[in-house]
Amino acid sequence: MISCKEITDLLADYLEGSLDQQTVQALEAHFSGCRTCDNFLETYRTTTNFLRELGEEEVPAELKERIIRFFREHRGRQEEEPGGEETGSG
Amino acid sequence: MVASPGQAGFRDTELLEQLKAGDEKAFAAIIDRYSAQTYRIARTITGNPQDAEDVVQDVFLTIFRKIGSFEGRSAFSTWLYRITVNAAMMKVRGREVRTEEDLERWLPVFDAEGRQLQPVEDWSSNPEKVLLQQEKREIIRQALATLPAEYRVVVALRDLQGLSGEEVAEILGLSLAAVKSRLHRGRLALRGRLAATFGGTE
Ligand SMILES: [Zn+2]
Repeated sequence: MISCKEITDLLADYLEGSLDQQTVQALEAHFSGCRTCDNFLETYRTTTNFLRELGEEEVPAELKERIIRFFREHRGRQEEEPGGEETGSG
Repeated sequence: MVASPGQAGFRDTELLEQLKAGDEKAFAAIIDRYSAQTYRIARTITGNPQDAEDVVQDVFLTIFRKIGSFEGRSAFSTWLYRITVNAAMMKVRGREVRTEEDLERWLPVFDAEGRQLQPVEDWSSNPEKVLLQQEKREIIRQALATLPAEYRVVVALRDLQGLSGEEVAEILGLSLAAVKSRLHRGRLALRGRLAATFGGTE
């Protein structure tokens, strides 16, 4: 029997669709019998939807123009900077 | 309208060559294509619009200055997002006070049998009923601001930008497992915070 805690740990994979069919069936059987996990799933999903909506938010209308202006003002001061390609890990 | 950068990232070799030659039109094209995404990532990490705009300016200047050393080992977008994350993290470094404990207090708690200790209510349709879109966004931003920065970064790239786990791992220099873990814990903590706002009893 899969516990509520184990269900919670699998939510990201479940929403991404990366679980195997057997695990998905076990989760869905649990959701239909466990109000707590079903509510938790819905609110977890809603949270990710809210975040995605935030990623679609309008940016300031003049942003591009301001960046291009800033870029023109500062590009003249271009200096060779030491160091190779900027990498975090390689 | 901003063109989508696509999951594969930016691979237009001709435009890259023009960038390396210092062609201003090529830079305008890059700014046109990436400024909105760059801004949103910076906004989420720094938590405010002014810092975000400073970061975006820094990022494009850095791209201009360092494009000559960009070798194309990673996608251009990966390189650009890495520069963005680094610049945004610089802004919050020092003033960040969020800790792992701040996050943990919003995670679900279980008993020995793995059952949740607190009742969980479905509040998912409440915000739409009572709030304007703008108010809702503000609440989500406030919740995001309480996450430690290293979680905010992952949430910004994965959930706001919709990048793949693999791409986020490459940008941040983390393992895929670490990205998945931070994303999930970050979401759990946000869910917990939002439950406190949108739910009744939880
Ligand atoms: Zn359950």
